[in-house]
Amino acid sequence: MFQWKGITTSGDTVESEGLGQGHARKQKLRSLIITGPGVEIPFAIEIPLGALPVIFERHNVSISNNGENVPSDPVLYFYGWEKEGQRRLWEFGGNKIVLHEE
Amino acid sequence: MGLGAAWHSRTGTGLGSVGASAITTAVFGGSSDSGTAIGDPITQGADSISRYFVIRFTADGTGSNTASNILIKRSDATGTAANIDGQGTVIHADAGVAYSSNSTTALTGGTDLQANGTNSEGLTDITTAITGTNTGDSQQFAVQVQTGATAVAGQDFTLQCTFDVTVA
Repeated sequence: MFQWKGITTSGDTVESEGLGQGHARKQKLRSLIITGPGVEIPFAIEIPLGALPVIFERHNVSISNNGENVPSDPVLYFYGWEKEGQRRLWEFGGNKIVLHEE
Repeated sequence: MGLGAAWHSRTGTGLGSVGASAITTAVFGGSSDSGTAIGDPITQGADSISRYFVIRFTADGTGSNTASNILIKRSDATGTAANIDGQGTVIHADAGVAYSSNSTTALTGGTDLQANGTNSEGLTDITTAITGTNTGDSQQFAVQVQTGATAVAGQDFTLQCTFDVTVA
């Protein structure tokens, strides 16, 4: 279970249990701190002025033709922000944090 | 024998105005034109064979959960197995209704996915593929994977469907 805590542009602290991008955007966050499996230390993301929080999960399902159907991979989680066509995403899962820039 | 895969994306209880629980499940299976049971391995047959990766939202009442960036990828050694065409289709059914195959509703704005050749892949060119609806409804997104009728036997390959889910 991932959770996030954010600081809004007005200085208020808001929390969420689980995901909830709509909630994060509505609150106009300027920072986002997440905790969850594999993230023992809360990891803070600074959201630039005018940027929008991005929070999503990525799923995989596979099927094989040899009768050995492949189990689904673990869900990966991505947090970050986007602004003017630029996205900066941090991937969380297992025991790693990986930065993606798109 | 049928097969299935399902998992929880999360089960948030919601604090404040956060969206209520939005459980996303996915199952894969399908049916062949020749009547193979749902979930049977893809094998050579006289007809083309379809398989479906189904993304199912259990509605949370917020109406804004989405799945996007649908990626179909094949993994094989030779690339000589059948061509793979993934046709995105959307199925909309009431909650609790099992997914159905052979939907004829085309994915709005999308194009056919094709993954032909060794370790090839196809990615949808749309930002949002499916959006959750009101309480009591569920939506299902099915990516149809269709093989050709020949050159499947003796070739091992795996099809992978990857998609992003944004929870409201």
